[in-house]
Amino acid sequence: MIAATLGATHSVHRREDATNPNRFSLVLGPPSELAGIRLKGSRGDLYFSLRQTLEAVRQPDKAFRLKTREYRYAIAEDANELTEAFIRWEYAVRPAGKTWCAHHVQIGRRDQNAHVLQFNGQPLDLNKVHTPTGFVLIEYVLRFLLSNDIGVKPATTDWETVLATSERAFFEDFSR
Amino acid sequence: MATKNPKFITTTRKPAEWFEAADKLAKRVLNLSARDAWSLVCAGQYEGTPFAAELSQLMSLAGEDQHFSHAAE
Repeated sequence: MIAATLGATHSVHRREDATNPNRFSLVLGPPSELAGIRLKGSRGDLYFSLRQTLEAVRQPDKAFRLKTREYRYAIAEDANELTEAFIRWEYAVRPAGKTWCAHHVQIGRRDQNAHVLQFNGQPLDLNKVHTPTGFVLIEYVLRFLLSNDIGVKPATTDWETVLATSERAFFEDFSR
Repeated sequence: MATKNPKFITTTRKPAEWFEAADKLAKRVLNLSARDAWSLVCAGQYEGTPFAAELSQLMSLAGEDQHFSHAAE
């Protein structure tokens, strides 16, 4: 799917705990490039980061089922490791004592200024609040990148078919 | 249309080795130990940054994220 949409030059890295082979993380692009892979969109260059933590869980029928434990998809304007992503979709483990929605989207600050919405006369900081999203598929974020919204040039002409096929497989096979 | 597959690279390490990678990262970016940097990240500093995302993943691989409760599925 990555090859058909963003291109085959980007590597995918799987990171495993030697003591627990059922749980692993995936990172798009070299993990040393923390902001992600560099892409060219209609609004200029951007960095796309894709991370997931997955776990193979044994089912009652003894088969293994792959579950997503965490994900983070982020779009950034530069490769600065300490700059908040322009936009990020996360499914995160909640710290103890927190009650926010595990699936959420956040908008990063710009030049230390938060994007705020005025709500009943008070500012709602879009970098801080955890606006709920539901489970966001990689396919949705790829579509966002490749559509006119961001305007990254797709690697192949059949990228929409590839995404649709992958989405269907997720809903029919992965989420049963 | 046939497409080439991207390069797929697997790295398998023991938790202590992942922790060492977290320590190296924290020292390089913030000149802090992994645990000190992780405390700041858990307190909300550097939220949304690539550094926080990478440190979080490395600490999870190192088994150091026990103080988090698992999200409801």
